[in-house]
Amino acid sequence: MQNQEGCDGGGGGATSCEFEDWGSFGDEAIIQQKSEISDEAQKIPFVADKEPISALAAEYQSGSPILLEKIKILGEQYAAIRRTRGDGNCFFRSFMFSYLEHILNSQDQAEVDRIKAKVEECRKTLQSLGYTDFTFEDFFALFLEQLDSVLQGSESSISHDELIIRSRDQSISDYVVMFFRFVTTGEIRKRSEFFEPFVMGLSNGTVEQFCKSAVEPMGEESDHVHITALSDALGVPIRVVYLDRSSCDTGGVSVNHHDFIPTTSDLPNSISGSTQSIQPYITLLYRPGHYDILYPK
Amino acid sequence: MAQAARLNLRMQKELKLLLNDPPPGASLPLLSVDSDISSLSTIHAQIEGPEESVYAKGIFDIKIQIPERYPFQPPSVTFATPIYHPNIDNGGRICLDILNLPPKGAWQPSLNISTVLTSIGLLLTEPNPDDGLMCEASREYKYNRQAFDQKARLMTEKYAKGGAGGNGSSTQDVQTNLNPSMTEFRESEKSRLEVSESISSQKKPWGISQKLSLESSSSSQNKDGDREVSEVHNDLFLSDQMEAIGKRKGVNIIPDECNLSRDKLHGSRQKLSLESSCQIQKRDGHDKENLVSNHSAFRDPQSASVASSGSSVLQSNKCSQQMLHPPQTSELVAGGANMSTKQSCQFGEKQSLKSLSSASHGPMTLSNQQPHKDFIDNDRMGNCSTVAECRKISSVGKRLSLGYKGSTQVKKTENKENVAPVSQVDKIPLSTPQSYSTKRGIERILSLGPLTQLQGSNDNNSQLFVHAENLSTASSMTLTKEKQSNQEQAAKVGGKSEVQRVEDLPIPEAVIVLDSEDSEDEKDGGLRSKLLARKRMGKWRVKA
Repeated sequence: MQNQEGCDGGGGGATSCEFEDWGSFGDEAIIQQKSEISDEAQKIPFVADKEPISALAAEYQSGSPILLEKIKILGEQYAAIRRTRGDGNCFFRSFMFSYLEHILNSQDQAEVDRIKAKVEECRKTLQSLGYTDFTFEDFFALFLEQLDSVLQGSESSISHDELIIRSRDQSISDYVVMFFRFVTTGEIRKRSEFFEPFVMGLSNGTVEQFCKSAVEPMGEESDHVHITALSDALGVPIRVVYLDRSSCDTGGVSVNHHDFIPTTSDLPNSISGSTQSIQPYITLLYRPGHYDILYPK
Repeated sequence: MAQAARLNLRMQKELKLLLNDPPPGASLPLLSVDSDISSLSTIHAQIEGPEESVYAKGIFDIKIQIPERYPFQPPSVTFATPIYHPNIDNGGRICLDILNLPPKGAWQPSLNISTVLTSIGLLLTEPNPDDGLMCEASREYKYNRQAFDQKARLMTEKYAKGGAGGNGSSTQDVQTNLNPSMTEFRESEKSRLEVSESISSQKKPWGISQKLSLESSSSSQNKDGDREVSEVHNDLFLSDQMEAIGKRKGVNIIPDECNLSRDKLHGSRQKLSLESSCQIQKRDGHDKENLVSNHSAFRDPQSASVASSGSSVLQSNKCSQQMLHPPQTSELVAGGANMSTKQSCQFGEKQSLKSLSSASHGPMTLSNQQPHKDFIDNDRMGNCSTVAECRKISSVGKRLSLGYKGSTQVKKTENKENVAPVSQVDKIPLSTPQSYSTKRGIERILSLGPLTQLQGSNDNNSQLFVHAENLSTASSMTLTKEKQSNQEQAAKVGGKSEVQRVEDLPIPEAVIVLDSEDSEDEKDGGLRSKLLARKRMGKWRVKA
């Protein structure tokens, strides 16, 4: 499925050294990592090239054995990783690229039609929430434009290379990220009763305040609330694989993952069936404070 | 780039919304639906002071700069109109969370210019003294609300009323005509600010300024045959002043409370002003062409004089000397005033008229307007003490001034736009003096020197003083550029003779401080100007 053009490999060695501190996790390490990531952020493209999982292992040579063990397991299930810039938008950026890449590869017209309907729903949601049209319609338009362009067969169609280039173009990439932020904030506010308990755990404010301070502003990192809301709003299942130092009580090391399955009732046929059977086609690797894209084998 | 195109698209939508459905109290006077938005990186908006706030009826110019990465980055919004507000500093910078990116601020791309303007309107209604940008204003707002309200109203009255559309050249011209006194006031305010600590010194400056203004106004009127309005105002002022003088000799019209202090101050200031004028004249004599430089020098002296009355006297003498040149300078000043008026559009024509009368107020307003300048703070400080007085005076002054709005604007323009004023000056030589306090001040001073009698026209004693001071300071600033042209003009006007006289008269002997309190007339009603003319036996007159 995946194109190999991203596996230039050149970026692998260059970027891996930036994450050597990953060996020691913990709050301080996370903070340090965050600051280092922000420092290094400019060196990493918004969306990097695809790297083999072994590149990840190289970062943890001297790190926790648990992590090394987990990476080993990870390598059994996943073929590659694609890093994204740690600028606080990494989840949305990862989702953007992963989703568009999926459409590009699958040429799933039904999925495109489905999500377009979802986007229109989101538009109405924002309007009903009192957002001024022009404040979000540009972002919506840009996302729909990208969506159309990854479908082959039209004049505006783009190749996988072009998709990477666009994803690295701030004037496009940021707009799409902002589109997702709008979608997310609309979903959270529309279902504020549902999200309120989660939001309360993340901040002291109301749902609306949370959206204004932690969802809509660029660079605000995403949490479960964001992922749940985005997944629900667009009806796109997302799998997040956790790479941290937690270990199973049973002694055996396993890599945890969590599937965010849309709760909306109108799941598309393509992923119909029981929740259990849904296979998310977007897989993200979560390391504390950061999301990257994972490619299953 | 694509981003630029998208930004254009976005801005078109933004502006359409702003024009068709502007937030309450806001407007875009310079834009129409047909405006070429692609060339707009800066948007000029206006916000009306919210009703029932201390900024009510004021119209505040706001500059909105759109960054390249808008809406990912917040717009840069500043007040172009001086305002007394805990969260808005002398440079017009606004302390508002949505104007900064997180984590410091709360800007988000889902916001837009309309919401920003709405938020600013709310900020005017409800300042946030706990997160104040201006310590003094914040403290006053919290612990001395009455004083805060007074100052804020005064600032609004002086800078945010009248021709809101100061941007227009026509308004500028008008302002210049009317504003000469205003500018002088501003200058005087600056000087006052410098002197701020010593009220007495301020008063002295005022006296000078008033004298100067009176003279200048008279001269301006003569010159301003072209501009009827200015002439009329001048005539009115003169007549008022004359009458006032006749009626109120030795009595300052300034509010009773203020009168006592002011009288004393005026007395000293007047003396000082005379002296300063003498000095100015002398200087002028030295360097006729270098009027501007002289003015600057004068400014310094004036400021110094303000600080120390004794020294100020000497300086004032200098000022007076300069003032002798005023006829020429006045023209220049007028030009400068025109320039300033444009800048000070906010002050509007109304203020300009008032400015004459408000000259006394000027110190306050000037100080307020000056906020951008370092002096402003000092001025404000000093002004604070005199606020009550100033207010009274200002009210009077405003009324009297007939609407010289451009005093603050004049200040701004003076520095930058001195050159342009010249042309305007030609047209409105006399009238403009008011707008450009410095230039005008000089002009007035010059005219005063010759016109010492004109002092009767002192709508505002304080104004005159202010003018004198302002003139010295501002004149030095603006005059440098304009001086040459002004000098030429002044020379034509006959300022030379006056100057010579002034020079001859080293010490201003007779200083007539006229407090034309048109506003005072409120009590009396109408245009009655209480003119407190203190006539000091002036060698000037004798020589003249």
